[in-house]
Amino acid sequence: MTTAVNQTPRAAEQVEADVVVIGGGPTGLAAAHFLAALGIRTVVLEQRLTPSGHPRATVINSRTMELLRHLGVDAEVRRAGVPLENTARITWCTGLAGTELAGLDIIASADALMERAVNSPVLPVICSQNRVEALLVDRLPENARVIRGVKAEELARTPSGVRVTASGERPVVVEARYAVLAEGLHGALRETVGLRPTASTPLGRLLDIHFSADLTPWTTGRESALYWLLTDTVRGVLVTVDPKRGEWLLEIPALTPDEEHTYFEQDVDHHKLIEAAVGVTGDAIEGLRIHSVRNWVMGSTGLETWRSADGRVLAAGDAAHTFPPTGGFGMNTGIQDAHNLAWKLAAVLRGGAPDTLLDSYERERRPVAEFNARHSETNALQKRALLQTDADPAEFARNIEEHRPHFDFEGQTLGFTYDPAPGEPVVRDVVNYRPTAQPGHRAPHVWLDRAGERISTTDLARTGFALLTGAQGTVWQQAVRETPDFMGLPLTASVITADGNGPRDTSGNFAGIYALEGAEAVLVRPDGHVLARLPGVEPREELRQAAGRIVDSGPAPAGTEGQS
Amino acid sequence: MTTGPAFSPERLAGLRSGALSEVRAALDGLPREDLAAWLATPAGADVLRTVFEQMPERYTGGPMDGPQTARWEVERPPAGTLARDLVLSEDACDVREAGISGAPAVTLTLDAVSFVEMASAASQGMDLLLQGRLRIQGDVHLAMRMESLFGLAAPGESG
Repeated sequence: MTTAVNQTPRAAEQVEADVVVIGGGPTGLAAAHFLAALGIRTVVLEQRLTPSGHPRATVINSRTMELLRHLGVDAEVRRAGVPLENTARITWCTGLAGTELAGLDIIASADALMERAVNSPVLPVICSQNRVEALLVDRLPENARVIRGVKAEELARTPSGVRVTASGERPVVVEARYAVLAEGLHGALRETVGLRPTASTPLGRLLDIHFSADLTPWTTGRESALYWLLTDTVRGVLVTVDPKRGEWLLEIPALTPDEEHTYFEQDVDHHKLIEAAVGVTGDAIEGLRIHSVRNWVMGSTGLETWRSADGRVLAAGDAAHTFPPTGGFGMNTGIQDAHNLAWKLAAVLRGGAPDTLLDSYERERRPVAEFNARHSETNALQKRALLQTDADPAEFARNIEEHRPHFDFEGQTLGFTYDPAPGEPVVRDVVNYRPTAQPGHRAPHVWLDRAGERISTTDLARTGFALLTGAQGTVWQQAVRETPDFMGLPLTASVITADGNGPRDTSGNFAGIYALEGAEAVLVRPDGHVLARLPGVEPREELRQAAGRIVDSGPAPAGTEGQS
Repeated sequence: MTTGPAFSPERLAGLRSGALSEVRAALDGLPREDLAAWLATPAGADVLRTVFEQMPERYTGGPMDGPQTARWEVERPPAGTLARDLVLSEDACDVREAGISGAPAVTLTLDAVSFVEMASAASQGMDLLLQGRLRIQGDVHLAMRMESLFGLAAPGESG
């Protein structure tokens, strides 16, 4: 449900909710969806009347697509996005109309595609942020409300939670138990509640030109997600936004102080820059029309802590962390923050878990965000060096495989863990994903057969906790009959065998990947990550201990670094 | 040989119609097991052959680096697999018995229900592949273009 502003000034509307989300970008909207799905009344406050038309983020990775699948919007996102056949390649060339220097196939062979298809019920997609936002707004359930055209000015503590005062033509005051700050990089409320920003050294300024044009004369037959362009006058990247409609984003970093003047002064001719990037002049580009231009500083930012001292405010998405776009992890990390946080808020608000459960949010998510930040920075520095190279084409092509981890990151997408061993990184292998059902990891995807239909193991915990067990694990069904909820959320048990009455493991992949012994069960959290492996000797006591481990494990250690 | 499950005359007419929207309507609410059993019958095989025969009419073509052969292997246990080679050029599609046109550039193997779903745009090839119902060997880029070469819109879109 979306509320538009009324033109007539009036007294502030009073609204009550369980959770107020400040910021209606992808992270805030995803938080509203995930919370509402768990029965939590949520209000989102958003300053803009409509989503920005500028396609900031464009990559929806496979883990985020799994979450969108659970929200029922994955098919629409895929339809609104770029077909796989247009995104399975990265091209390096002099101008778009010039010489091709190298190409990197992300899905180089049928075997590679088949291997990837085994890892997830979905594939990644290129779909611009503004379209994702529009789809998320359209599909909001009844117990989530977006109030647009209001600016959250004040976030105050109340005896029972928080009060947010928002100005606008139709001002509003929201009282809620908790606030999620998804106000983006430039939001002003974080510091007012003691969440102090941090920033690494900026990696330079970029110019973004969002435009439409028919570029098919130069893209047909080598359709790519990205075209890295190294012309004599312009060095940057052309991002495919929507090839069917001829929509593109040209990103040009300032590589030298002179280029700061070239690209960011008032009288820069953006049409000329596009022509230079393509490598043609005049009217050779049909239908060229610029939609928007922005320039921005690329770098990583963060917060000293993601949770206010009083515990009532939690930051997520760009409000908690930003990093270079090289890798496409910004929007994905934000949406996945919201997914991690939502079930914990629901558990606390339903009275099924103490407030200390919320400390695990930053402890789990900060190392992942920091890993993604470091990896994105490495990618950015590598691409910057590549854009400045004068290597001959043959040498350029020979070395291109070194850049695969920038574009091919299934291990980083699906393989991160919330429970790394001491000294271990949260991601062991950026490129290759190795499924494991050990605690902290995303419970691996396996197709199961249920009454002739295929369901994914990742579907079993979408609205609560799920125990996945084998033929000898019927003790868990008895435990669930006695205790049908866990930490305030529904608990289910699925006995998965090759030929039983429950979901059937017709491929044998579940047995192989989950590697359960005897009555052992994997306890999967509502965010799809494994909370524990439980032997099934004393089911109720094992469940109690599993809850205790995450609730009592304390706040995030200061200065956590999740990268190797 | 089996006669398979009995379908209503309307459903049979829809399956045999060759019109995408009518085939999709006939598939609606039909249990997979029932359709799989029927497609394993001689009557079902006729429908599968009709689908292949209609493919040249649906071919919209596109840039092609010389003629390319795409082999389709449609599994219909307990009956035998039905296979055809589609020889594709920029503006033409020629349907031939499998094996007489040399080695295929790509082979797509799927069950008969999935084949009917894909050919009527009731399911997308990528979904079938992700569900483990479609396997491909050979040129992955040609495989990924298959639906666009035949003008098959995504489910829910006109087509």
